[in-house]
Amino acid sequence: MDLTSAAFCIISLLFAVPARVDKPLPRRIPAIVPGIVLTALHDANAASDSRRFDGALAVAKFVVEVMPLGPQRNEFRRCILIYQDIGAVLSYAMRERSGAYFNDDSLPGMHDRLNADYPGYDDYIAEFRVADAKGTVLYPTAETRKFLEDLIRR
Amino acid sequence: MKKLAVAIALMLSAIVANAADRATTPEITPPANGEEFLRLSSTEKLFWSIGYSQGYLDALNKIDVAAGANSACASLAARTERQSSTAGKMSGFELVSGLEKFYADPANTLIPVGSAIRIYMLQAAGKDQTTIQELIETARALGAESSHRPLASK
Repeated sequence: MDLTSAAFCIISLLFAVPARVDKPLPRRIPAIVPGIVLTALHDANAASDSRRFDGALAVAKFVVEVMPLGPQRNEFRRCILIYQDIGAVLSYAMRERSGAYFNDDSLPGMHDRLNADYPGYDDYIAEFRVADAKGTVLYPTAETRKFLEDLIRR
Repeated sequence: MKKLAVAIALMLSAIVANAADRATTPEITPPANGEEFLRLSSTEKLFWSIGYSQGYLDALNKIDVAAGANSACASLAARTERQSSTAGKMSGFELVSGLEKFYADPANTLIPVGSAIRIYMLQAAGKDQTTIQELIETARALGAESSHRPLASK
């Protein structure tokens, strides 16, 4: 059983509570669940599998809602926010004919937002940007995803 | 004695010059299959894709010189090869994107880059799915054979 399947099994178990309980969600989820979900997101991104990635991201958003307040939840939420950006880039990369590169026309506002939200992104991506025959600057989606993924591991 | 010293000095300087020359010469190794292609940076992928397309087009344009203007080889090139070449049909950005999507399927990683480009071109041109699948299966078998690995089951 792979990690994604394991994560989905655990999520379904969360609903398996007696019907007479007022709050259907447990107050605590097993500590291992966020780790499993993050691994599923990491693996789906590494395999460029946007469908599996979207599924894992939906599970992650659900899990963070049932986590108790605290540093672990904050850290998990931070990872989800970064994975949301990875998801937007991954989905574009797999959907579009020229998905290996993006600019402001193809992914409006994405480069500026990444610049504003993640210090160091501009310097990092400068090495990999290219210009087409018309002089339009394009940024690679693969390196953008790698930069964001590295932020999560820090 | 003097002559021997001069000879030794000359030999040493030749060795040093040779070593320095080797250090400054970049190693140019084309990616053989998807595994190697996906390890490249986006810029390298772009350069190899453009180089492949340009080289293929040059070869097609010179086929009449190499094989004779009215030879079977030249007519085959005009009839079949041009259809599956990237010449004028696809930009380097689109080719990189297409190859990234093609190699996102783990079963395709051993397929040689040349075969992957041609399969992707046929796919993009709307060739029927049965033919495409046959080509993919054949390319997978050839790729596995050339890398001496058992064929990965999907």
